[in-house]
Amino acid sequence: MGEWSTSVVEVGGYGLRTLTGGNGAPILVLEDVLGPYGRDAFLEAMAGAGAVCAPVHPGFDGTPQPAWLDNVSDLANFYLDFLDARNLRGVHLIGLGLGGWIAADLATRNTSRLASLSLVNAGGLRLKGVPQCDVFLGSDDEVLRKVVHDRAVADRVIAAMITPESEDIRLQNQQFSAKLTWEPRLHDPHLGKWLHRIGAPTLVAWGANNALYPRPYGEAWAKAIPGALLEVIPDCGHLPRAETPAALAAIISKFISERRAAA
Amino acid sequence: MKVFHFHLMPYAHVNLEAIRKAGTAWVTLPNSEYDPVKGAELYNEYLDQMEFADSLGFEGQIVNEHHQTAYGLMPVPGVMAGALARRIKGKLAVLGRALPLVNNPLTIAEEFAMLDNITRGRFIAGFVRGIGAEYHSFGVNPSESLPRFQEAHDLIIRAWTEPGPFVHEGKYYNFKYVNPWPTPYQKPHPPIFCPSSGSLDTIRWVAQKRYTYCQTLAPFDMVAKTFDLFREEADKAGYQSSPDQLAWSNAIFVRETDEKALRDVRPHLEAYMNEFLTRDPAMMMPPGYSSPASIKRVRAMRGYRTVRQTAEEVLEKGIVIVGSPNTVREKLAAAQDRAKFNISLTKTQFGTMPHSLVTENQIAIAEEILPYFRDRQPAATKIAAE
Repeated sequence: MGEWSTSVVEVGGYGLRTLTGGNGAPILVLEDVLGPYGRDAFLEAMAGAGAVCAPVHPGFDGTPQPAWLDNVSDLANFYLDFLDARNLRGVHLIGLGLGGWIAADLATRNTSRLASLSLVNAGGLRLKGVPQCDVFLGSDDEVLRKVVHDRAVADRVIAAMITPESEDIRLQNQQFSAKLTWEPRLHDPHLGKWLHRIGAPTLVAWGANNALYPRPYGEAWAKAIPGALLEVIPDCGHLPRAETPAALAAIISKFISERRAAA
Repeated sequence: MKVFHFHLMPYAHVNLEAIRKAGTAWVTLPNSEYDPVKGAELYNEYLDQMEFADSLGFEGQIVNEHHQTAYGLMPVPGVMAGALARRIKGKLAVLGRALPLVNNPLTIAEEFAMLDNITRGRFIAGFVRGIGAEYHSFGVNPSESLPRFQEAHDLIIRAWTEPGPFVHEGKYYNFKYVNPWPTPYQKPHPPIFCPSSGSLDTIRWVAQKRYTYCQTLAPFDMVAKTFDLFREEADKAGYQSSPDQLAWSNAIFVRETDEKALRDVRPHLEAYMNEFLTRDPAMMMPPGYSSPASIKRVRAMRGYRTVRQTAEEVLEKGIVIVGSPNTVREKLAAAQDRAKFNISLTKTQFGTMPHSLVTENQIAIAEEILPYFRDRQPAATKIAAE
């Protein structure tokens, strides 16, 4: 541990590509499928708070799509298998966007290996009557402009992500995202029923200007999970790890450090 | 050559500026732009056009399915087919029902069996995946489009050919009792036509099933290429395909001279190609609907989204045939010889074209084109017979 490296972890016959870096208590980061992912300012900052492990979802970023993958719950169970395979305990689980949906689903099933849960603009719930932008209509840059609050930040993210070289991966990632979230659109109708089961200390961090899951979503998450702490990030949309990475890392690091527990 | 009469039944009175402002005629163009008084007039005119075409000797009448768009006003094609079934003498086709969009594909098996019975076997069944925009409208997952299509197709064929009641257990469709009344009039079932924009997966599948492959609107170079691919795939599947298995979807417009034809067709053709059709890749190819390679190919076409196509360009690419009787005969014959097909699915109305012009076009086609093609085969076939 310590330095950043990528390795393959065998989990039930699937070779899971994982990025690791940092030292200390295990921090499992489940990434979003929208916006930047991988080693960035946010992950670097989190590596200051513990041993970061950021796996690549099976089927994402050009990895092979397994036959068993049909829905988000499949990934939740898969990552429980991953925790068992690595025998990790006292894990601080962080989920962003779709990763937050996976993390919450996982936590309703089993929190025995978790020390804390941080949900950042998590997907998976649906609040009727709260308008959501359509991330499946529009070109790649148009979609990023919908979900990023500040125009200059959007320009930067677009310049970094949307290149001719990345087009194949982007198309595959969009197919992955559509497979899991097209219908029911961006949520699991059953998830909300069981959020009360989450026994791990939970942080809900939300972009105040999130056009994909607007602020009432953050409030709903915090209300549904017993004892959850809500932190709203001002002047921020759906992608705080790109928009306000230092603020996001600080909020989560503080939360983790206040809950260090040997599991 | 069998020349069918194909209709899209667009909302021809649409405000073209409203389409330009909305960026599309599909899914999000507000339906406040639809005037039911004008729409009612159009529906009745279009049905008149179909019946008239039948009396003029077209091989059959074809209706089609699209949703939530000014491009076509037949979200339920069975309604239009029902309105025509007893009023026409020729064949009747629904081209095609979008199988993946429905929760229960047996409703399609039932509807088509009804039409086959009412027409005493004049019915042709069309199966499609549904174009990308329909997935935005219906909420069905585009990444499931192909497997849902295949399972729905298999279920419909079973429903038509296997005595019921039987159990169907699938990934997408599960029924404890499959036992449709009526069963089809034609045995084993109505002929099946499958339109496609040219995906190799579809071409291969249609060839393997020995159905009729229909190439939708495309530059003629591409039509010829996909028909060649079909012949190759038939070969790989162990048989020699017939030109009767290949159908070209086109539009034909005939006037006294080439100049008059181009002048009269221009506004309607350009509206059709530029306003009624949408070329927004995200709208037409949602994620998982097409392969990444197909999406990239479409995105890479220079000026695809922004440059207006002129009538001249559309003609030059051989997408439609417009001209004097002689020009149209020559071009259609050349197309048939080059691509070796025996079925033409011909629109006589498109875009904003008004009823009076359509009627004149239909009469001109009936008098100047149909008689010359009734017994015409692709040239290579003629040579083989000598």
